[in-house]
Amino acid sequence: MFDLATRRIIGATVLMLATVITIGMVWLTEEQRMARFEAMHKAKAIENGALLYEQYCATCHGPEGEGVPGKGPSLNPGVFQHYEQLKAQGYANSLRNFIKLTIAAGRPIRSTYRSEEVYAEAMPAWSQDFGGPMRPDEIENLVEFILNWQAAGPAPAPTPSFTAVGSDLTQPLPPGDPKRGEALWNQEVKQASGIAASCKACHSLKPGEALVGPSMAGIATLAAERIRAPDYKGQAKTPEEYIRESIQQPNAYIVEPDKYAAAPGVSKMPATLGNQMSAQDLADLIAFLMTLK
Amino acid sequence: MALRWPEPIPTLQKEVRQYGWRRVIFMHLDELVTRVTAGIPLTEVRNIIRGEPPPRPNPRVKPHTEGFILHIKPSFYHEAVTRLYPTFRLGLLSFYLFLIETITGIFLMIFYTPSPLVAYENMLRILNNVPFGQLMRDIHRLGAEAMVVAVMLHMLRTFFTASYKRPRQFTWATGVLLLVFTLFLSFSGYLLPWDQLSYWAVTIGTSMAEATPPPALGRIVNLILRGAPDIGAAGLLRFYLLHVIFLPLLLFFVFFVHYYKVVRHGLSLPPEMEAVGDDTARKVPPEKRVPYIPDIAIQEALWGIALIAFLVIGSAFFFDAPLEQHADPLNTPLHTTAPWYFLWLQGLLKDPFLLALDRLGLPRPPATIYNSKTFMGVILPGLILLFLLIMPYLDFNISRRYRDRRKALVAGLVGVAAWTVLTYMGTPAFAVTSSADVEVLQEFMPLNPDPLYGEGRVRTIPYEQLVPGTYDTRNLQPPADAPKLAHVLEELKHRIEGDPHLPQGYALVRIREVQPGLKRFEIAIYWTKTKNGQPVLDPEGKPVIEESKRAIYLHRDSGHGGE
Repeated sequence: MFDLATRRIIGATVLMLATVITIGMVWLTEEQRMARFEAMHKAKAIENGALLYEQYCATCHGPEGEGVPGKGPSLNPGVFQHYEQLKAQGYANSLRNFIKLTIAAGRPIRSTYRSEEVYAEAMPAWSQDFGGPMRPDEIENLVEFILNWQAAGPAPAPTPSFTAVGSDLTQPLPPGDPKRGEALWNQEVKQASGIAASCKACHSLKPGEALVGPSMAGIATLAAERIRAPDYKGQAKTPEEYIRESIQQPNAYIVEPDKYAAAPGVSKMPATLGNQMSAQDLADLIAFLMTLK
Repeated sequence: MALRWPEPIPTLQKEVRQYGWRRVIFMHLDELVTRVTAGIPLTEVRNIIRGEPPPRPNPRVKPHTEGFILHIKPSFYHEAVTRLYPTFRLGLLSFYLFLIETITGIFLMIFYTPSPLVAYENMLRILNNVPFGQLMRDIHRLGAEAMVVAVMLHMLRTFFTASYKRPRQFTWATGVLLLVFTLFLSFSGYLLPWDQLSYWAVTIGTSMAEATPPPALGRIVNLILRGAPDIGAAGLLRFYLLHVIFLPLLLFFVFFVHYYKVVRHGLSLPPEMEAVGDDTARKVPPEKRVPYIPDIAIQEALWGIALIAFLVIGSAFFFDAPLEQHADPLNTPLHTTAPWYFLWLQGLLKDPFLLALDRLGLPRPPATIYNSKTFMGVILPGLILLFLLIMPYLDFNISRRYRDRRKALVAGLVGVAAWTVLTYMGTPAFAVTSSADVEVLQEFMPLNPDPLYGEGRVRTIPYEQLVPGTYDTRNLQPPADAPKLAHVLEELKHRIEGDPHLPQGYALVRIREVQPGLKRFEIAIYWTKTKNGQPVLDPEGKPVIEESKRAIYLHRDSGHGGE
């Protein structure tokens, strides 16, 4: 019908039209496509962040971000509540940047934003910029994952009322139950404050294993020796009293200050643990520790 | 003496008065067209469109003598080379692809910074914040793959039609260089997205550089190429500069040498059309001549438009350039491969020679005499390249006829077959096995898309069907409204129970919702530890059970479940 050249021109025209129509279709849907890609990438960032959280953060902040007593504060909802407090005090940066900065640079001191909670160590720096293991993109992913908790809305934390034993060594203690003391140690039951006892975050029960603090293996025997030691300056007369003093007033006597003092005369062991426990909790814990001969 | 115009410049007004306005418009239009086309007047353009034969003298050859762009093109072709066979237009397509790569590449360069700190973020930005960004990237990537294919096929075609023979040996040698440059252009671009795929493919691809003998030189070559012992910021910058400046310039230069030689010797005719030993490409009888303008020009334009249509439509609907996770130098994906055109090298590095010795039960030669990586990764590919370069000068068979070239054709086919086999050997399907449990986990949920298993089967389950719970493959009771989950669990059960390396194997699958829209999917595989086919017993006499676990997280919007 047509000669070769005409057929070629017709073919080229059809193909060109198809190309132009395709580009037009891409153009019309480009906005949605970009939005879709962004949502998808954010979802992938959350997935990656979740893996990183499991690997690096969950040991101290809990698998669900609920916090681990003595190790790391709650993030869900703790970090969101803390940010609200900071904002009330005039902190001007965004929540995202607050979380990012805390992960990247860590904290210079132990977290103190809730007076009744105490932590053994300060948050380390995680960014490669500050000597940590994480790349900037990994920190971004982690932040996306943490922010995703906020989607569920912050849950208020209950604060039960109780009388704390504090740092008062004179208050008489009820008879202790070593069974309940062990359960407290293992965080199977909670202290009167509703917070799990944080002892095992720093003290191992294996002989010779020093975590942040010394091992508690054989503490009953050890306590009896300590009070007779020439350099002992505390007031304890019995092993029970020595253990009680160590919990309520950790700075009274510091064993091996080179290893276990945070500063001269200040133990690494927080001095506020007594604020979390009732007299019964303390008695039970002492009773349990006294079984470790 | 003062310079003076010989006569007053005719003004438009005077012209109109003299010739009438219609004629004046035509005159000026004619002049414009003649200038733009470098010599074809308007009336002749009309004749071309009407398909009329050219007058004598032929004004349609003027652009070839007057114009810059067409002076390199022949003004007529032999009718025998204007059909699909023998050229298949592969050289033309390669050149078109180079132009398309340049244009799309410059577009992508606008949004790209060659630094590991931001390169990956730039890629995300191109995909989520640059209109046509994804289309341009897809075209660039598809075009790159197509260019490698086109250049390779072009070389094979030239070999099989014996077009490399006298006097075109040098043209062939420059063509081999162009193939090498094309491969390295594509390879250097591979690294730039800075994702896991690119990082590890290039790590593998450059790993043979270090094997360059002697060892001192190998270290230097590696440092020059990567900028450091491993690929990092310096390596990325080097690859970027290779990709956007050095290799394109080199390729452009060698291309013109190549094309000049092609035109100088004429496009070689199909072998059966000329007497043995003759080369009549330049002696085209007048009745066999097909003029470039308009016939060949239309044909070339058609090929160009068809190519663009293929790339645009292909990229818009069928092809997405891959982008995996951010590059992680500390986390090597299980099955890492070089780009497909270098898989044959990866196959060579698995060393068929040593594998054959093992199969025959013969001892391996000592490493001091035979260094596998040096020989298979550097010396042998170097010899192959050298052979390709000088091959036409070693071929003393003057006949281009297929029936006179049986040995050469068989050798060519054997070469293609060897390349194919080596390419297969380079894939993770060949002679790469990790432990059985890791293979299962990789098959069902790889941490990065796997060359063999893709995204893995777990990622084919839609989010709603990830019903939280614990599933035991020994006693499967998946929820009724999750057919895809049930299917994948069934597959997992068969996969583990059918694996001879996992005796009495079973899996526990735990699905848990960790956040709104985010679920954790864990597979834990258990099997009985065996030694020499007998179960290993613990001190209490019970069989020892081994465990292997992996968990991934799946978000509602991350595009799994076939969306």
